[in-house]
Amino acid sequence: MHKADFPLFTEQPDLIYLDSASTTLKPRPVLEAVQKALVATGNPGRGLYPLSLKATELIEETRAATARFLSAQPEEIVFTAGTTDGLNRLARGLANLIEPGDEILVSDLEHHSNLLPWQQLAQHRNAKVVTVPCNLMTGSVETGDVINFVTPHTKVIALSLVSNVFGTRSDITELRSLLHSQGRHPLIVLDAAQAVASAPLRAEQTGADFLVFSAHKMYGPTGTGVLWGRTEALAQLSALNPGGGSVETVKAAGPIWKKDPWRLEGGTPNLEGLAGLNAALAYLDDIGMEAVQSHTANLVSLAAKELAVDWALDYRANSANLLSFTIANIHPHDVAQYLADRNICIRAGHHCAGPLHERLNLPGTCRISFGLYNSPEDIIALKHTITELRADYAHT
Amino acid sequence: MLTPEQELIIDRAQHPQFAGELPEATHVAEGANLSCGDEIRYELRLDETGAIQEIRHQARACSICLANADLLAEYAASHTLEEIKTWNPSNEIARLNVPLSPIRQKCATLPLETLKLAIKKGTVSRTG
Repeated sequence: MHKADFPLFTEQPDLIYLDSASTTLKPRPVLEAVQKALVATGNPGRGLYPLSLKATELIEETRAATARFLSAQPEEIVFTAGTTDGLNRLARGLANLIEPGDEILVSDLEHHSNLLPWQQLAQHRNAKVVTVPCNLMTGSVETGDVINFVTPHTKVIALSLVSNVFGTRSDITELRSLLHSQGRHPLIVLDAAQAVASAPLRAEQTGADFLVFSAHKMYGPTGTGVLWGRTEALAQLSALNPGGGSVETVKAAGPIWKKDPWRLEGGTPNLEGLAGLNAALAYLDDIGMEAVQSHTANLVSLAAKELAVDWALDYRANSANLLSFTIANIHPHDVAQYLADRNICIRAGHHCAGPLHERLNLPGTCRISFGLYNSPEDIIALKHTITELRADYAHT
Repeated sequence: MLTPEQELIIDRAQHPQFAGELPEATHVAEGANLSCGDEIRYELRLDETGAIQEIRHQARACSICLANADLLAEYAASHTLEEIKTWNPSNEIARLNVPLSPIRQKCATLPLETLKLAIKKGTVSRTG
């Protein structure tokens, strides 16, 4: 348990933070790296003086560290402003590949960020979004669930690796090879926002062509994210964010683009964000992702056992890092407010997963999610406070 | 433990005095806060003078919205439609006498928005 690494708990020692799926808190090394970058870096790739060179080194060092984290290659790593930004950029970058009548598959598990960009793309290109219903027995989407929906018109398949409502992991590792064996080559996009801090993540082994996540879901700062893509997949994207930094030069005849991934990164990058991401990667590397996985899995298991709530969605055995629940006759917002007034932070609502909650006929749920600063004591405190909540509501 | 104000809100939410359906309603509207799932329906029946004869609500919502839906119904029953049209959402928040974040302020103001829509339209309408 690493609570001492997080300065917030010095200021707020009684805080019980159970909303890491929304955003993680930041450890000291990340805060220090961000401050250092704000103090002493120039604009990367622009100047010949040390500050500018230092900025370039920082970016490429972060790219290499990200690649190691994903067991990938540096040239497969594109920096973005986060998961939503990455998915929107992908949708725009793939637009030229989408023809009228083409299909984009998503599941009904998806966060709005992995739904809306594809809906907009389909609308823009006169294509169709097709929804694969998740398997409610497992709370996930598997290769067998998806394959039945793939047609010759399917160009993109966009799915979440870990559900932000159920915490369940969808396994589509075999989907790409199965489709290729059938002569079909839709591009597979994985939203890894919830997966990135819950278990080791080896990009190619997921079976995806593209994978996106945010730094702030893995103890890094907001405003920074990663888009990983296989080299041949990145090559299919039109320039994601054309501008200074993405070209060698621009002639009268047109731009001479840089090689990937730099072709796909226009503008001055979020240097302090990347410094924070770099520090977060080093922090997690020190702990080891297997240890991180074990830590959150143990907390999920304990919470599932200890909390007397209504597991509206009972996937406790298969959850990576979070649990959703309701309490009879007490609205999720009332539960969350009661807990917030007592220094316990949870999330309540539909968690930006409207279609899923519509299918479940639930206006919302309460969600708890775990990070490196959580301990069994947090779960016991939550348990007791829920008992008090029930008593207070019964008393009125 | 809850504060007395919080207890009042929960009690009113759990024991509403104006919940139910209204036969021969003359003014009906539905409202929702789509981001949190609160849903409310107001039904009014006016008498021949245009005064509110009866008012009822049905809601699936958090305690803030439920309590205020009922408190608002009680308060509105003794006022004219023209008066209700001028009511300010900030008064809805103040009535509850508990601190409310911007997100929960929307829960408090949804009943008034819906009631005003019912008055404006006079038939089944929807906000949110």
